[in-house]
Amino acid sequence: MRKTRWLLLIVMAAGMALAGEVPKPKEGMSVDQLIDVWYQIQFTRFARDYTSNNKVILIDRGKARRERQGYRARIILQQHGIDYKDYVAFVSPAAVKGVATLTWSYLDPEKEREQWLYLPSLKKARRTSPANDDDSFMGSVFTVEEITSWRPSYETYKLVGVKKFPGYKSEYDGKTYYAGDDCYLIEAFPRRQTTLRSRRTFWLRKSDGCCLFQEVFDKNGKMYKTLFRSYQLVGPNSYPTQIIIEGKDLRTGDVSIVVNEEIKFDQGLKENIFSVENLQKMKW
Amino acid sequence: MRKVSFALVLLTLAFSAAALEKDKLTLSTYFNAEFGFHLNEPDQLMKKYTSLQLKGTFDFTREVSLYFNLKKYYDFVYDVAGQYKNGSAKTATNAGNLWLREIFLDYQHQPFFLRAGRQQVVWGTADGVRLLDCINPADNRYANLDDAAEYRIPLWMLRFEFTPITDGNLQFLLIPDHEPNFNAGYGDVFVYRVANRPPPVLPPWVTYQIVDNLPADGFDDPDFAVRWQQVLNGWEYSLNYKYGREFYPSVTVRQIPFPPPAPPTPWTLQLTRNYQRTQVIGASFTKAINTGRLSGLTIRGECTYTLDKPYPTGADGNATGNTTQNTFAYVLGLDKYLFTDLLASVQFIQYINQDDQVASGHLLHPATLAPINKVENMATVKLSKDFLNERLKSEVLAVFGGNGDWRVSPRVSYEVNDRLTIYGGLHYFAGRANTLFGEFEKSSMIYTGATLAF
Repeated sequence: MRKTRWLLLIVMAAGMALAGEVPKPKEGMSVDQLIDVWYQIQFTRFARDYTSNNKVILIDRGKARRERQGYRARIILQQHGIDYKDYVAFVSPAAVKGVATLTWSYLDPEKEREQWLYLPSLKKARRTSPANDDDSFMGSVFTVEEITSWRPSYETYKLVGVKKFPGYKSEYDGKTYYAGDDCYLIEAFPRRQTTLRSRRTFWLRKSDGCCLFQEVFDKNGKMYKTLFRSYQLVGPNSYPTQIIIEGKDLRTGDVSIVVNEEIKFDQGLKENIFSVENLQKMKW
Repeated sequence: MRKVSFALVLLTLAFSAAALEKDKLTLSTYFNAEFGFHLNEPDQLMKKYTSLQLKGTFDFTREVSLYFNLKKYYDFVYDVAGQYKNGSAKTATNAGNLWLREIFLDYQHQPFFLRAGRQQVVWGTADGVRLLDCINPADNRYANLDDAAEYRIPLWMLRFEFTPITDGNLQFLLIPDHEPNFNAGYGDVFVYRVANRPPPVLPPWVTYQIVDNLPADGFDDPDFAVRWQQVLNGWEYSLNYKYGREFYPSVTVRQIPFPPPAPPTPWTLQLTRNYQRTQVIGASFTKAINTGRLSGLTIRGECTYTLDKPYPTGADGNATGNTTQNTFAYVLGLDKYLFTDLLASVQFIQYINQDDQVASGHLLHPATLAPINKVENMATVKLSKDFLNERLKSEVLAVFGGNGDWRVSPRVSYEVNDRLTIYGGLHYFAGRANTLFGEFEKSSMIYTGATLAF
């Protein structure tokens, strides 16, 4: 029954994506529907394709700072069982320049992703086992699931109520964001027994469904991580788009920041960009 | 020389154009210093290596781009370590134009792609075992302990690709360039047993002559190769064919004239190296298991059937003849993340020869001159795990030969900042002196180094 419900949601989402419509929360929506609105926004599933330049800044407790820059492209297909294909390549620092990954994600949320990795040290595109959902994303405090692989069906949800967001001061630019915005406060409980967290919260902005903030709790109920996201409306269709994603590990004091720049939607990217042979054409 | 001139013209063009359009040029520089010491005698130096590498790209247009990779290195060990001072010092620096690692022009116009220039082309799915990875020869002077992209010798070639369907690709390679493997010489640090013997001491009336019959470069009798690759229902597979030459020589020894005259009439002992025509027919596959209890497991494999692969023949350590065999080899590998972020990778490799005995003697391994069996097995195990937000990386690779020989190579690296990485590790070899890993037992090495990239 649960699977059928999610299948319906996926079909609904596919319909919305084809129409290019940005979903928004509406009065009377169930908590699962609200979460699905956020799922569409997080992965910009209403767009056909997406490219951006990314900066990943890693700051440890001693304030030592490392920075990675990359290029990302994604195409949303939703056909032949494939949900989307994603390509990420590092452009700096020189030590990791040329490392690239290609990921194919399936419509079936139970089906593990396909992944290839191009390593300049081997000059080879090598199929890899996809990283575990709880593994760190590129050495950051984010998990793979938080940035790339999350599906609504991975958790069960409870609507706590509507609350005013207290605001968040960004480590990246020092600005305080979204103080006083009305948000749906939702609690999410993982279905997987093996996950590190017991629950997490989603602060979904009431006006547009964007998730502003998340708090993640360990098995003892202690909050150990927070995630903040800022947004801008991008492109002629005014797609709500994540600009800054900021994560703090409250146990270690580590901070990770992803900044998306030069974002472009719906450029008519060809599917063959997201192929293994294209990965094998890497120069570096 | 003409090729190097062509490369220099391309580089000049790119840098001249870059003066006008700087945003189309990207450049990265890598400086590496590494010290290696004998594991059993840590005060004895084995490696004092310094390299400077410049990589760059220039986009002439959306469809045409240039890539270059220039690397110059020097290993001071031959200047400072008494043990190696009498060696051939072949390992000391880049020979010939090997400093010009890669330079090629890309032209992309869907569904066509052309890459012309000096380059590496990598086939196959195996790690560290070169079956289908047969397009480029190898620089074996550091016993293939460094990265594959560094030990492959790039070749001048044309790579043409046609993509008639999404996720299906036909590749054609035309290779007018022939380079043999490059091995360390007698007295160097990592010397295969076949070369680890001093030149023969001959009476004064005998001249020793080496003739290297390297095939002529050019389009008269080039190598070529074809590959079809496709991803179909989650299965990635390739079908491969190469018409080429073996990268190691078949050696014949002749006395000229024969029979040699009585002393003191002079005569010549001539050693001739020929590079045998071979054909490689191969295939590879990978499959990631997406559902069920084995979800997250990646299975991969490749196989080759080589026609006319050359082997020396004779007795252990003493090659007296040559033969060719049709041989079959395959690799099966499994990869999986365990305990969230511990990547485990295992491979089983098997080589199957037609016969282990021929009329001229026992089949011998080309590198060790040890008798080889009709079926030879190998296995590899690799574990890797990152710590401190991927700042500290660790891995251990173990390779088991089929004759009781093995090698284990643990390594750690630490990213000090965006530019500087320091690393250290060891390569421990064990086994009988006539085995692939045992021959380096006395060359087990502990090493440390740093790479500065900017």
